[in-house]
Amino acid sequence: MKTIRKSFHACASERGYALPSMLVLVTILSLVAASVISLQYLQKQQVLMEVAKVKAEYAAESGIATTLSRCRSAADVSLFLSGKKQYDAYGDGSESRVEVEPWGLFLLVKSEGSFRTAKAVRTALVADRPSKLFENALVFANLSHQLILTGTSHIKGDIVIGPQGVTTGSMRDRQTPARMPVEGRIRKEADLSLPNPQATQLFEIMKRYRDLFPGDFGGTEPHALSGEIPDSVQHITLSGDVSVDAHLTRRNSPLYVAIQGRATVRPKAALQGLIAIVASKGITISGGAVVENAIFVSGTSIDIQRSARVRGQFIAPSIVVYDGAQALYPSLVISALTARFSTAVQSISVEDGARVEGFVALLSTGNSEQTDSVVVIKPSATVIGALHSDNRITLDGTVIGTVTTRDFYFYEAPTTYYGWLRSGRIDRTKLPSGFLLPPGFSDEMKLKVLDWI
Amino acid sequence: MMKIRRLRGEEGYTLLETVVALALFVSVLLPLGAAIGNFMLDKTADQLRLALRAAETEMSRVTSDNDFIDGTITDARGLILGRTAHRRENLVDIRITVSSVKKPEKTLLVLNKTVLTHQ
Repeated sequence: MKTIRKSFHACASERGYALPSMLVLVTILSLVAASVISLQYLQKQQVLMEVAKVKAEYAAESGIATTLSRCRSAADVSLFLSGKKQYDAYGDGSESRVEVEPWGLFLLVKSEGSFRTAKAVRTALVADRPSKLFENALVFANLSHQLILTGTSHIKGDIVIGPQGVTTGSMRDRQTPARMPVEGRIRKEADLSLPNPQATQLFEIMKRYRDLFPGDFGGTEPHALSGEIPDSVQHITLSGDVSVDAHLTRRNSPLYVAIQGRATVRPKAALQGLIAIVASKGITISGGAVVENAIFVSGTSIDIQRSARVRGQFIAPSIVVYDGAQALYPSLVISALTARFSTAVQSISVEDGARVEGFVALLSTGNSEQTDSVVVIKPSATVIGALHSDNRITLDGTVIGTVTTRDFYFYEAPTTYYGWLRSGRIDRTKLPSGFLLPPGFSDEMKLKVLDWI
Repeated sequence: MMKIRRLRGEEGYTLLETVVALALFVSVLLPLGAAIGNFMLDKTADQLRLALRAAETEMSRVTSDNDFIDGTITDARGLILGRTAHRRENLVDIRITVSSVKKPEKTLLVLNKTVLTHQ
């Protein structure tokens, strides 16, 4: 009887076992299947998202290209600068929206590309292709006297000059060249003018920076610009001398710092991207500071100190690039007055061992009659790019690129020499073909992307 | 007698359950298995990713080399990369089309980009 009960219990425990076990099995396998399918689905969605992102990025870059192709004159650029936005659609459903604003003397073109739900933003620093005049080694625009080469002066490339032409001369303590130290053609033109920057545009840009000052700031206590500054902050106004120690990086929205006083960028400071520092008094950039694409505008002077290695735009009436300092391409060192009727003396000095890659220019905006404005390139200083002055240049160093000037000048007691080069060397042949200038120096505008921010 | 009846009853249940279980197995798991198999064998995502990388590389090459001539190349991974360049004034519209050697008629991916060229 016990045996029968046992086997009965055994049979009873087996009742219904097949169905529940199969249901459990089916459920487990269904879950496995569902997870495999969802994994595959997610992978596919991820790839489709990658494709959409690439298409959005290409749309953003295409938007910049399309906008630049439409900017063929200063008037076209002004239209964009007045707030016009450019919308473009591409055949595959991607779109772009482009805005243009000035960034110092360059243009900042911001493009947002979209494809379905994917979005991408591209920001480019834009410059202009130099005009044909910059294909020459030297444009010497003083029509009243000769260009006189002596000592170790040498020009490799073509020269455009007035009717007086070029000659060699003798100076005390300097060797007289045995033959004309020019490797290139000399073209004389009766009516010769320098590349004329769009003064109106320059004034507009300067006005933008001046307008950052709301007037009397009040106190004059010293400040330190340090620590984190969130991206939402676009303007900072400070009164009194400011010491900049901050590590700031801006890629999308610019940060303008207006200082009523002096500004000193300390050795450990790092200013990268869209950062503009505008000071009513002098700006000092210490060696060791990291500067990339930033703008510095001063109402009086800018000193780029010894061993500094920077990349940016430096705009002030008086600028000194000290020995060993390097302003890397695409840097701008521009002597310009920040007020239309200012009487500040304009000057640029690139000291021995210093190097500027980009554009060095003295633009006599508003006081072209001022006679003591001068660009000085010391004997072992180098400029790679273009050196322009609508006043005078003391060129004793090396220029790899083009020099456009109204006159050369130096003083060697007891004589003042105009139109002489004693040790200046110009070599146009070594300048890379991709060199770009700020917009406004060419009659026919051909904008190109200078740098991606 | 009771023992025989009970055993009979248990046998009936088990058979029914087995039949139902088998039916479930066949009706649910086989299509599921087939679906999983399809998904496991489906290399669309991998192929699309491969096509994207190939198209990006080709686009970079075309824009850096200014190679604005229509053409087709077949790469080592069995992808056919077609490029067309349409000039309009100082702009060039570039289109990279990717398909596989196995199914050349089916386009996997199309990338468009407009670049600026100053003559």
